Amino acid sequence: MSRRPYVRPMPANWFMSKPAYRFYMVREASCVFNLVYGLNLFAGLWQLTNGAEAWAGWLALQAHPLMIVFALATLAMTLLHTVTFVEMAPRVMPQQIRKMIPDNTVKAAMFGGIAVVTAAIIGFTAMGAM
Amino acid sequence: MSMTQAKSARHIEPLLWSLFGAGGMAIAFLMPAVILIVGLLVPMGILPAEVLSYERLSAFFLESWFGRLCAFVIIVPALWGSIHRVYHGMHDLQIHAGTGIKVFCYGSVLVLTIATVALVL
Amino acid sequence: MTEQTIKLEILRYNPEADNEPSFGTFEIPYNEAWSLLDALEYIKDELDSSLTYRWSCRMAVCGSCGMVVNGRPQLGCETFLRDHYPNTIKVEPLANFPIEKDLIVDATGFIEKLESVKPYIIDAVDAMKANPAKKVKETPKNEIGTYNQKPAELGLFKQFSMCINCMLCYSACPQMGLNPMFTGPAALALGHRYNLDSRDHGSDERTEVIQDKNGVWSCTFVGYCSEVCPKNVDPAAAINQNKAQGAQDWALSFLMPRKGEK
Repeated sequence: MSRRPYVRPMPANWFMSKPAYRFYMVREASCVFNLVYGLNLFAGLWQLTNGAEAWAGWLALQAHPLMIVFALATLAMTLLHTVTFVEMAPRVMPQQIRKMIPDNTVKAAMFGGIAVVTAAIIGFTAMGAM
Repeated sequence: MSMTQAKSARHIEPLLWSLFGAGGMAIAFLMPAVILIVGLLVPMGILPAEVLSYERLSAFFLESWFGRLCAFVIIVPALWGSIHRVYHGMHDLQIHAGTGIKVFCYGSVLVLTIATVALVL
Repeated sequence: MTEQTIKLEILRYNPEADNEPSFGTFEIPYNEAWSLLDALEYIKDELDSSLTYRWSCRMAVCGSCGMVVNGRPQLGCETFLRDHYPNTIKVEPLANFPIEKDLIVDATGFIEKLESVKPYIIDAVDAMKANPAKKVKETPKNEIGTYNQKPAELGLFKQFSMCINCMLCYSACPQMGLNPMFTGPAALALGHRYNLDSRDHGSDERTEVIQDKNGVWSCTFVGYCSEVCPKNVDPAAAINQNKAQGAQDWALSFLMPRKGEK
């Protein structure tokens, strides 16, 4: 009897093989949208420092139909990130704290916090200008 | 600090992961509202254009300290969080990025971080 | 009346005859009480005595019969034909391990990784032997010379101590396939289990392996390891708690004086 262990190579498209892997890759892909959107916001800040005209140009870009589609896609991916982030967060906390506060309490507090912050930002932004 | 801890402190992953965590937090808490306002509600006319007027936003983001902090917190952690996943995503796709690509990825974000601070000051 | 049957497709590999594994199909009588392990036993007894697989307890305790069933790592003894009938069941050896023969994989690397996290209690005496400069406060022993442990202290690590070394989590983890040097879910969870034990003082001795690039930092929280774990160990949580700890230690290493360092 001779040993001849067979090592299976990792397929190039391994992430297509299971629903759990596909979901993971979509979750990770959210970062591409957030990276581009972050760069977009950086460009906006830059244009803001360049004066009213430059700022108006950046705002016009935001209203471009393709940009609105991209914003919608980014929002969807961001919400996926938000939900998965909150789902994972309690499990990263020190075990000592996890034993004191149930995971669901932490998740509820985070979702509540996100709702409050979102409402506050939209409210704060909208109010002064109405 | 023991020898073993000293050894483990030699790589920078704990720092990059912390920035990734901060980015994940910032994206989860702030990005939905920011994208809604900047990307959808104002461009689609649901909120009036004055909401994002130059006078208003330049006064807030470029002249108030709270506004400067907001600009930093909205933009910078999100970039660190995203680039971390991009870099690890390359590994998942079996693209073997060397040190050069790693330095380019995180280095670019470091440059953008400094640029953001410079812009608001 | 014809007897009901069910088909099994099993990945076969005979190191003495085959250059690579290939599927073999078996049609066996369907019995709704049978586990997959019972089905494999029927095949070995009645159809092909060369079929090779590991098993022992038949009750999800020993961790021997891990295999990939329709793409999902599962214990053969916990998988029932009735949950798949009338569909064909596809059975493969655990992923991310070299195949020794048929459903048997080479677990040598796994055992070495388990050993690397020092999965035993390192008491104050041993901890100070390993690092004389370190001040360790000994856990007091009771009158019969053993340690008392409160239920809350046990509760802290109990979840991470339930592992049966079935290796399903290694099969589930894509990072394991992408980087075979990765210490992996079960071993890192086991290290965490000892670090959390009130009787243990060995966390410094485990840091080098746990906080290595091939330790917790090779994990990207896919989370599938915890999904397939038959004992709800949640190794993904164990690993990511160690990343948080490592990040904290990393930051503190700049703020704190480096006491005890040569």
